[in-house]
Amino acid sequence: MEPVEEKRSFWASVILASLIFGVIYFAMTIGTGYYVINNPPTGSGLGPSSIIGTFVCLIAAFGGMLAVWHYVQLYDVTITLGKGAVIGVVTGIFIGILSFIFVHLWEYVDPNYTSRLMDTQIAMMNAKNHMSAQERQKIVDMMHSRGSMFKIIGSIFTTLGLGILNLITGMIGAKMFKGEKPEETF
Amino acid sequence: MTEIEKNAGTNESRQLSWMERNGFPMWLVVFGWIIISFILFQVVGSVVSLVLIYYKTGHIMDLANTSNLKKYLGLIFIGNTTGQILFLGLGTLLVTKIAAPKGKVFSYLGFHYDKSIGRLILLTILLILAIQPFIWLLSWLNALIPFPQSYLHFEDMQDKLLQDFLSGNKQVYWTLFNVALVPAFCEEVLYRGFVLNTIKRKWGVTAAVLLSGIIFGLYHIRFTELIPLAILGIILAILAWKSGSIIPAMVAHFVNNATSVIIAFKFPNYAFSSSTANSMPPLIYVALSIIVSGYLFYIFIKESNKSIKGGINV
Repeated sequence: MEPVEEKRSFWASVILASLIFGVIYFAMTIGTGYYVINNPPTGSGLGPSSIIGTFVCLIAAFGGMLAVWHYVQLYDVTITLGKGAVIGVVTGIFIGILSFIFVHLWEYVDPNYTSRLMDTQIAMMNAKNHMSAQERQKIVDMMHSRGSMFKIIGSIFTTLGLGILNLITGMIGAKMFKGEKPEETF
Repeated sequence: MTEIEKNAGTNESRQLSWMERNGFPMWLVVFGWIIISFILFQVVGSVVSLVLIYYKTGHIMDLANTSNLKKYLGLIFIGNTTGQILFLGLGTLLVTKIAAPKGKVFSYLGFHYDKSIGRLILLTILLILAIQPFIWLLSWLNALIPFPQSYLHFEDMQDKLLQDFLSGNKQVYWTLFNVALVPAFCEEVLYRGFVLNTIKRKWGVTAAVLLSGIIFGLYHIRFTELIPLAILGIILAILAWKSGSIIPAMVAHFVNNATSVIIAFKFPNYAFSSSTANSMPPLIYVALSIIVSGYLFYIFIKESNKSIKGGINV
């Protein structure tokens, strides 16, 4: 038998969860940025900023779960794993888009933020002692000439990554809060 | 009409997949897996390359550095091939388990062979060779689209690396394995197997053929060759759909890539000068190519219609 599709709109839940987690993600991203700017470069690829960055991503992954919880509470319905996944992935993409917009708006608050962050990254590159001066200069030139291209590509990958992470937590949410017993035999 | 034909595509009679039973929309599974497999392929490919380089040199290399890329391109190719086999190939086989009815993974992907397919494979090989000047024309047209200089520089760097690898490497069979055999199998399983057949079940064959071709073009991240790659993807999708088997498309893909490798080995000067899309191919070649490949395509469709099931048998 075809499963009965839940037709009630999930947009209210998605917008609510993505706004909450978009703001959290943005605040933590900016906070990490200032932490990097205000601390001396380590030259290591696995410094505290990388660990904080991973933690920020993990926090933002729970937006999908919150959206599913809200949807289930709002309509008191049983939802499938698939519906949870859809709500999760849409929430994740919205979190990515919102945080991208917020970070750009932050440039009006602190116009030097991006350039200071880039300078710090260049200083970190210089602190890597296994790179030759020529190699370092090449990367620095690349960062200056193609900085905006890298920023856009980076934002697209961040948004996709948040979509995938929230897809998973959306499915977990569907199972935890009101998931029907799925037929799990492949 | 055979029993298979009667059952294929009717919602009432066909068995539901795990994906359908659990309310997963088709677009999420298809596009989700394309993105996830691509990211995993890139990440794991890079990690394998780094581990191999570390094993060989004893220190970690920065792969963003072009001179390192050049020096260890052979090992980077091994990483790339490993990523393709693990995620585009084997990963797709696993994901197909959730999209296909129980126990029908291979027939869903189009792993079907009988005597008629043998004849179609022969036609496919001739078709893919005959169509090359037309593909060259498409590359030239694509090159007329303006791109930012920084992006063109990135593609030039990729071309230079490939050129160095092909001209510096004397192991033709190993190169054929990495550049032709593995992509022909893995990319076909993903695009003409999983993507084509999953989209076809929900949105119909036209959407399936067009979307699988366009996504195949985009997946290569070479925007200066997007049009020829997408058209090639659409042609391969039609071959897979009309023959009801993924095998002719696999052979066509292999022949297409292998031809480039062999030309690069045998005639390096010709390969690396004329392959540039900035020159228009001689129009007589293009005209002949369109006529001959059009005729071969027509024969292929006619032969397929004679013997075939018109797609997946699930």
